[in-house]
Amino acid sequence: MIEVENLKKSFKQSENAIEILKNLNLNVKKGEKVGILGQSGSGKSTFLSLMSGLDAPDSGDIRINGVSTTKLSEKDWTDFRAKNISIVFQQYHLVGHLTAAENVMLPLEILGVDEKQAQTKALTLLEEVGLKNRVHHFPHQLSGGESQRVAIARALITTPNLLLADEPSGNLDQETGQKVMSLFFDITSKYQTTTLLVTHNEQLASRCDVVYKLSQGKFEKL
Amino acid sequence: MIIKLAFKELFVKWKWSLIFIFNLAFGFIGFTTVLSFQNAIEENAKANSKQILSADLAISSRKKIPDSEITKTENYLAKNKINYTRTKVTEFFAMVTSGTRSHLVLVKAIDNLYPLYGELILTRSTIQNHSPKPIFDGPSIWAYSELQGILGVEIGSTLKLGSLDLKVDDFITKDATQTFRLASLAPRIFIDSTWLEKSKLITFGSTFTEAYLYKFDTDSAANIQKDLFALINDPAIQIDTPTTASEDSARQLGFLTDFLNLVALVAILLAGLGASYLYQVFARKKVKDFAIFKILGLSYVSLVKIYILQLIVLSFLVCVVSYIGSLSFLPFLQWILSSLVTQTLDVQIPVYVVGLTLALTFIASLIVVGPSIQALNKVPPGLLFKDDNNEIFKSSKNIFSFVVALCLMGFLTLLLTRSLMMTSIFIISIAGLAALFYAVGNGIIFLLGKLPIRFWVYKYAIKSLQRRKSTSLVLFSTIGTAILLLNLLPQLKHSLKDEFLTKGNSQLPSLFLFDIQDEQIDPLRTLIKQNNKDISQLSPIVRSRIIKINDTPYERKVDFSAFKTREEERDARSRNRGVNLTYRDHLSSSETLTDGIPLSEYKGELPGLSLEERYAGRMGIKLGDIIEFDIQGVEIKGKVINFRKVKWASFQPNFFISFGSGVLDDAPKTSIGIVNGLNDAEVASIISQVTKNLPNVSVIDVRQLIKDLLRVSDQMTLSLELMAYLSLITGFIVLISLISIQLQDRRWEINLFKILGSPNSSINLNLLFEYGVVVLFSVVLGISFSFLVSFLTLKFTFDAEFSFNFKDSFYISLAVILIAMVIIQYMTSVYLSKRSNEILKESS
Repeated sequence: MIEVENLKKSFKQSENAIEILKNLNLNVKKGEKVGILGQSGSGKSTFLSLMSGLDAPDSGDIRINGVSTTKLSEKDWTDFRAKNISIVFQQYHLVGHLTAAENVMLPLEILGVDEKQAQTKALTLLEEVGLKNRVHHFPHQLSGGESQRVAIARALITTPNLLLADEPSGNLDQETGQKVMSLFFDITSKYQTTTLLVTHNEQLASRCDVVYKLSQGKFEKL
Repeated sequence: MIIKLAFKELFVKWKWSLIFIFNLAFGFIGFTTVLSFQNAIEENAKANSKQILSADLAISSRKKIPDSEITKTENYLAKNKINYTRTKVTEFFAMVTSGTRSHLVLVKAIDNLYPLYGELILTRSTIQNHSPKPIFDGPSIWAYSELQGILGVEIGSTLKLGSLDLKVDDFITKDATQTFRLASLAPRIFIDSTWLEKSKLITFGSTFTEAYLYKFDTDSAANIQKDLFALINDPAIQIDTPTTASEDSARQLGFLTDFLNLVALVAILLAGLGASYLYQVFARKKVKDFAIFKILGLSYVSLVKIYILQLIVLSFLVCVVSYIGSLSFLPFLQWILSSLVTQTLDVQIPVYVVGLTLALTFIASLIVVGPSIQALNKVPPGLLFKDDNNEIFKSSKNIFSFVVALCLMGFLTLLLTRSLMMTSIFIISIAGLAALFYAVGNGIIFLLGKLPIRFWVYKYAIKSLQRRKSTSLVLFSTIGTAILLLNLLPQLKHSLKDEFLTKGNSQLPSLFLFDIQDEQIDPLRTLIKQNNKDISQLSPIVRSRIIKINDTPYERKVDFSAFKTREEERDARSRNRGVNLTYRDHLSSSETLTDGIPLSEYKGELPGLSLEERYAGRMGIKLGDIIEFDIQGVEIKGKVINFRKVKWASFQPNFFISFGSGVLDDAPKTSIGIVNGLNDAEVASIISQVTKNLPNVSVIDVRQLIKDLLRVSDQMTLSLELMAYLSLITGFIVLISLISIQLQDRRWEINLFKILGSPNSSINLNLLFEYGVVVLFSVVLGISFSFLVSFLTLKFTFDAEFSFNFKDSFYISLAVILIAMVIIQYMTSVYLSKRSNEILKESS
């Protein structure tokens, strides 16, 4: 499903190039949940950026469902991402002037799905994440946990081949974080979504099928 | 520490600071420019005040000044041991003829001592007080150089004035008594006053102005004026000093500068609206900083000090930018108005204007910022850390700011125009337009939300408009108001031209005849009849003075206070000047009875009076009031029995006050009348015949007069258009600032669309549609409101009909929409070109 081969990425700082990712290799099977642990600055988020096409590697290849994404143009990446990849961010990133339902519908509407169909699916998902009564609320009217649940519903509405999650409970208190992550694991299991979860929380990562530690630019299987 | 914190924030947020500065500065450029221009006019008038009056003191009247009053004056001067030189000037309108061409002129009959101050610059010499004056050597004149073209005369040509044949001695290129060209529709000619009697142009009942000019060996003209006001009781006699003369002179351009000031104030309001919105966005962002400072122990007073210091710095920079802007803008305004001003103006930005701008920018910033700062103080620090802080800045605060801003506008308008009426109309219009823009803008946004649009690009653009309503409404109002101003002037101009030049050709009289003596009426009728036309609406005109209203003396008002409103000045002028009366039982075609009974149906003891309604309103006269007049020494009372509405733009013989027939039949009078339906050749022929046979009858070619008036108004409106363009630029800057700030605020939303798989073209279309809808509706609203305002202005000010000028409106709309779309497209493309990953990093 996902094959990462010799992935390299470095950043220039003044005149020196700092190599963040060094010959990274990874294989993920369909429906598998992979936890990626690492300290701050270890390159976890950079890895997710490369996986989602928001940044380009210096060298190496990423194949998702057999498609070599490093050869995609920006336009093709946008199209590929819309159909195959979803992301859940630590900061939720909901559109402020859209309601919970409208936020969830948005990815489907961008793909050209009929409004009614998108709405039905969004309401179902919101019900699944326990927000049946909050569908018409705006992000500023929702708590942190609720906002992240909306973000999860939005990520799953397109039934993506790959779900990338970047510290999804990082902004939540422990109790809420646990509840949200339980829901996250339940729902991704239900939809058999291939998931890459980036976190520094070992307990959380341990709930994944496979856990890697990203250290000094390389994966170490735990 | 406070200074460091204040400067640090402005420095770090330099982009925001720059946007704020440019936003407000553009609003103030027009204000600084007009004020500087106005100041130059007033300074020029002050510096040349003695030349303008050509004396230290002038005693004048629109009738012969009794010898007794002059004796009283000169006895007073002798008693106070004031040495003086005196000269007498008589002015009146008359026709001059050269060959087959005739034209109305203002004749100035002078003696050998004229001018006491200043000079007349002729093509071959300069005439001063003691210069040799060739016009006193024989029957000759000096004429304004315009007559060269109008009559086709040269130096040495002969002009006919009444029964006199006068040689043109020279042409005047500059007359120190004339500051502005507005009043030069009848060019002046100067003659030796001894020819006056021989010309037989001034007879019993003729209209003329007599002035005695004095030059003193002392500098106390103001005190002498005060004493003479106490000595000379006749309110019809005016006593002027160089100060009052220069004020009168500057007032000639007063209405133009008033309107320029009003447009400039609108620009300030637009900029203030934009800046207010910008500051709210800024304040929302600094809510957390505010909470941190509070928790760290910084008192509210210290925080306020930081913000006040920031405002002082920002105001100073706004002032600097508007100063530089004005320096670049002034030459344009001066160039446009140069054809109206005969004097060379030294236009600079005076220190007081810079100080006033600085004070105003600070006050404006305080109004803009104050409510936001005050709102922050009332919120507990814990709440300030909440992500949603919209509740802190409730709309009631905006309304409060708007009301305070309106009050400041009112104060400024009164200060600049000195007219209570103009201030009231302006403030009510602004408040009304704001309410209209708010209501209609809200309505449009509501209706847009009801549209069954399914495509997400358009659907979410409309949702954004609905849910960011305050931004949408600020944009609606700023762009809409700028468009309104821009389209208003061409609409008014087009309608007035249509009224006077197109429709007017059939409805307006061809000739307007005045100064017709009783014994000339029959010969004049015969002369016009010989040309197969009739003289119509022949109306007697009787000079009079109001002496009492309801037995209360209507006395001369002399007010030496520094600040007088225009209404007070007008009241003083109307008390000091006479009023023209007529008598007739019926209404003319340009009159409508609005209250009371017709004069023909009135059977009361006192003679009935009919008053023009707006004149009565200004004078505070009601139906049933008794007015007492002095007509050449005879006192006559009348009772107000009706009010009339008069269509002044009809150019018919119309009067403020009319008696019924019979009462004034024996009073000394002249008549005025009109001739309709003449072509250009007939106009020239009749003017020539009248001037030849009845030399003291003055004739105005109405069409030519209207063309001249429209030419002057064209030059005036050009300067107003320039100011309106400045308002539009201010509107665009607000648009750019708002979009820039919004896009900066929404960069995550745009990025999210990208991450969710939306192509750039769709996001671009989404933003273009969102802002485009605002611009489109602002333009539609602005254009519609400009039609409404010009309709109302034409109806109530000119009593003229509104006629659509679609062409100009279309071009203005198209240009504004295109420019706005280019701006929006450019700005969105800048944000769309940013990589998602960079924006992601910003937020992590």
